[in-house]
Amino acid sequence: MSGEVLKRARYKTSVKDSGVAGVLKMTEDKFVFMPNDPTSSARFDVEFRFIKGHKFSKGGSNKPALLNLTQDSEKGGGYIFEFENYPDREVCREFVGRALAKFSEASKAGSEQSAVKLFDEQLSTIEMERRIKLLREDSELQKLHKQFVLSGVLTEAEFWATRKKLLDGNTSRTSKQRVGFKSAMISDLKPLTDGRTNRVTFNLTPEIIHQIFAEKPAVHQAFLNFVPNKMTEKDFWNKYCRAEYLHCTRNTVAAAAEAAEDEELAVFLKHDDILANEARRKIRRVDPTLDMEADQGDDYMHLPDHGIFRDGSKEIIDPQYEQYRRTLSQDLNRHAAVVLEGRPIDVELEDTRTVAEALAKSKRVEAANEKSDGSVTRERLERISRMTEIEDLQAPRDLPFAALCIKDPRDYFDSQQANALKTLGDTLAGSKQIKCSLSTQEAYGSLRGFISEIKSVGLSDPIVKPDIALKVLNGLTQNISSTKFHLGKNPQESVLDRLPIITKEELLHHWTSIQELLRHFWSSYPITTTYLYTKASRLKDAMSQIYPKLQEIKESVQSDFRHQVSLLVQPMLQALDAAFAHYDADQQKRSARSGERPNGFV
Amino acid sequence: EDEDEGNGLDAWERAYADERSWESLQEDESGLLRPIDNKTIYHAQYRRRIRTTARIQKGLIRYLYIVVDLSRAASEMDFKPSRMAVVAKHIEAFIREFFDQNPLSQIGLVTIKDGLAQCLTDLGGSPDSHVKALMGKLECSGDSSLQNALDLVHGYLNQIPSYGHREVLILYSALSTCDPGDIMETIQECKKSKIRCSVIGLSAEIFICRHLCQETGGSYSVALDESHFKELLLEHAPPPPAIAEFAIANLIKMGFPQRAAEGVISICSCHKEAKVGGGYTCPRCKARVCELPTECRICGLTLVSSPHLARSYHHLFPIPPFDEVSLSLNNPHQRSSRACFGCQESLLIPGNKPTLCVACPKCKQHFCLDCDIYIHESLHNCPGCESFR
Repeated sequence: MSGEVLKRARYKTSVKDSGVAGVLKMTEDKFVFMPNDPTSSARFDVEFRFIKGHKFSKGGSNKPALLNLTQDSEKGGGYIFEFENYPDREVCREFVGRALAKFSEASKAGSEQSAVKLFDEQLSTIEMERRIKLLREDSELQKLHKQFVLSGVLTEAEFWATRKKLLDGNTSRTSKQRVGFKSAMISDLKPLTDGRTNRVTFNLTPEIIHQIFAEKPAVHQAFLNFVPNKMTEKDFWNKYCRAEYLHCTRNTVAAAAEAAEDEELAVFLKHDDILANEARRKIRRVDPTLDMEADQGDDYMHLPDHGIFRDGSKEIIDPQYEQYRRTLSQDLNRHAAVVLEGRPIDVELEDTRTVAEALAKSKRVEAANEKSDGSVTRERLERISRMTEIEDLQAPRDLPFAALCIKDPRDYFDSQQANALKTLGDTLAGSKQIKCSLSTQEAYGSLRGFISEIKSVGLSDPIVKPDIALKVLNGLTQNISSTKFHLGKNPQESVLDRLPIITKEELLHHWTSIQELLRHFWSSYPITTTYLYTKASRLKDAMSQIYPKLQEIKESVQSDFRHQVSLLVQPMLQALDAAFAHYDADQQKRSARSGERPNGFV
Repeated sequence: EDEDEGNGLDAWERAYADERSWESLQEDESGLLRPIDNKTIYHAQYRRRIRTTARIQKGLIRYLYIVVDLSRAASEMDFKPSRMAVVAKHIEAFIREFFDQNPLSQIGLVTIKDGLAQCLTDLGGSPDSHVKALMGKLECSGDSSLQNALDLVHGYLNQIPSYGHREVLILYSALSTCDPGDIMETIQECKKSKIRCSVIGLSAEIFICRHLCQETGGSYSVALDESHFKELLLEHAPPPPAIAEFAIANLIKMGFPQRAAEGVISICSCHKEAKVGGGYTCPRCKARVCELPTECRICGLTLVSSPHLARSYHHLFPIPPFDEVSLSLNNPHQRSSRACFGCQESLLIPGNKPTLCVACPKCKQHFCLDCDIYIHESLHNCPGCESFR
């Protein structure tokens, strides 16, 4: 997207012309128009070097989207293209703007181009569209964009850098977050039973299927093996649900009977061998300080139900049906273990097959990692040594606090003063330094003398003369009350509303552009690279252009509003002055530091 | 074991059977009940709160994220009317107290719902916007995920400058966390980024929360009831001690703007409206801002006024705890100090019995228990010492 643009367009010699249909292709240094009709002569291959500017028609439902690439303004002539819709035109316009900006900058300083290219972004279409949409919706933003970016004062990147919030907008960060497995056991399917028709309905969502595969590796394996070779997915889930139903009824005899008939069903009814193997392997790797008695029921080798008796008596089951029993505690523990492990895959849960395969792949990767990871044993030993210390007897592992150490603030001010004196000393040559020294006795004596004098005579030269003070206070009171009076008693009405609309718009527009420029100006200090240096000078030039415009407004407005307008314009001028002063001071410092180097290059 | 239980009675039963708590109720002359004197209890609590006066660094410029758990468990009604409502109410009080004690700091809000974490408000210094945003979004559903919340906060806090103290306060109602990955890794990342995570639980103590707080140097506590919750929450308002390996000393540039003259009209940079008088001008770029403390929108300078700094500064130099003394009337030196120096209330209870009061070790003035709490927690200046200057 950054390299070239390809759009359908019609080439027109004038606005009224019907135009020749074709394809417009723009690259960074030139644009090419190829008409659909090969016999037509409207074929162009023009470099952007020759294009001085571009104009475009305003938006409107019936108006065509025109883009006019003008050549030399004196000679006239240019290329008018009409696009099918506004987004197309906007994209081309942006592209042209950027290309032109690059060319105009390239003519200024050749070495800057490399710096600018560094900041050339790779924009995705989504980004571009979002920007165009924002520009279209907010006319103020569009005005600013037109004023600064298209005239080369700011680059696209800089303009949008301060508006990241607007761009991010809907693509919030939550879309990058993943949800863990639910803590509710949704894999434990509870069917809806219809008493009349004796039908049992199970509801399977992709989330549930994902959890079933994660918790029951035997079912997962069976799915990969059976579907789609031996049976369809629907059949698979039918059998699975039948098995669940049999478990619900806790009828182990019926379960055994059905398992004997149907081999595939048996897979779902019997104990999960894969799980048993995994569990046994894990138990062997646990560190020896952990009490594993409660977990013995999970490995399918020992007592089921963890030795807990139901109703105080043991359930007697025929050993041949032993393997068709499933206990709630085993299911709960398995579910909890899976939830704590986290969600291994990120795949969209639509197709069961993809889910199954992704899960299998992640398990293989994990197994491979485990085998090759030699640090596992080291980690285990570390953990064992940490766990052998009984927690209650360990010292608190609080992180130590930082001690308070306050430096004498005079050090800072003294060093600053030394710096200031040094710079002053450089520029003001020939000023003599007068050294004075008084002994403590002398200082004390003179102070005492003054105090006794004032005690007897009183202050002869008061700091504030009473009559002058009165005059000043009166003047101020009048000033403030008159301002408030002129503004009227209505608190809702603001000063701006009382001005004629044109003036108000102009003032607000200037204000927003000044804010934008100032923000970029101040953010480029302290200047560390040549890019920032050129940026600062660019901005300063733009600001110096606005300065006289503000003066003009002051003069152009009617006399009754002149006072208020000048009051409003005053802070803006002050802000600009502050920026200019800072710029000049910085320039001086640079030239002083680097001597006679041209252009202030660092 | 039977002796410990005391004839099979629980502790709360014993309070009635053995200790006869109703006898501490008293009636005054007109037959109305006198309020039970809780002063000594509060005072004991407050004395426990005062830590040593060793000079330690404290995080004065804090960037705190409050994570509110809005999962299914927040709709439980063991806190009346529901956990979520209680939490919201106290967060409002906490935010105001926080900005009172830490004017240079900023707060952001994050919620956890349906296993995902969302940023409710960005880091900012105005209390009203946070409270408003929270009150508008009080619905709970789904699971709670600690890892997602920590990841989100970690992403935001990584962007703040190094002189700021990064903190997270998690108000956790759920008993579990359903995470998409390894939460231990997230905890290690938070520790590396120097984020201090504290948790206040509303249901029961959870190992992962304790582990998180231990690793990052925060504090973990579980609230027993609403007033306890409020206490635990307000404990996080004063700045915490800075941990040695996290603290970096920096020089920070700040501006002290002057108040604009009354007659000046200018367009303020925060509201885009023309305002008359009032407001402050940034000393560097001369833009107008409406309130302090804030960051100048044009040049990015932190703008504060000196009272804000003073309010932060006194946390570093806390008043030494007052000594407990008991007034005895026979001592001639103490005859003059029968009234509290702060509020002038009499220190003697009727019957002329000696009562408990405290005295400042430096100026030796006597204060009552209420004034002691007030001086140490809100005023941060001893009136006796100040009046001698």
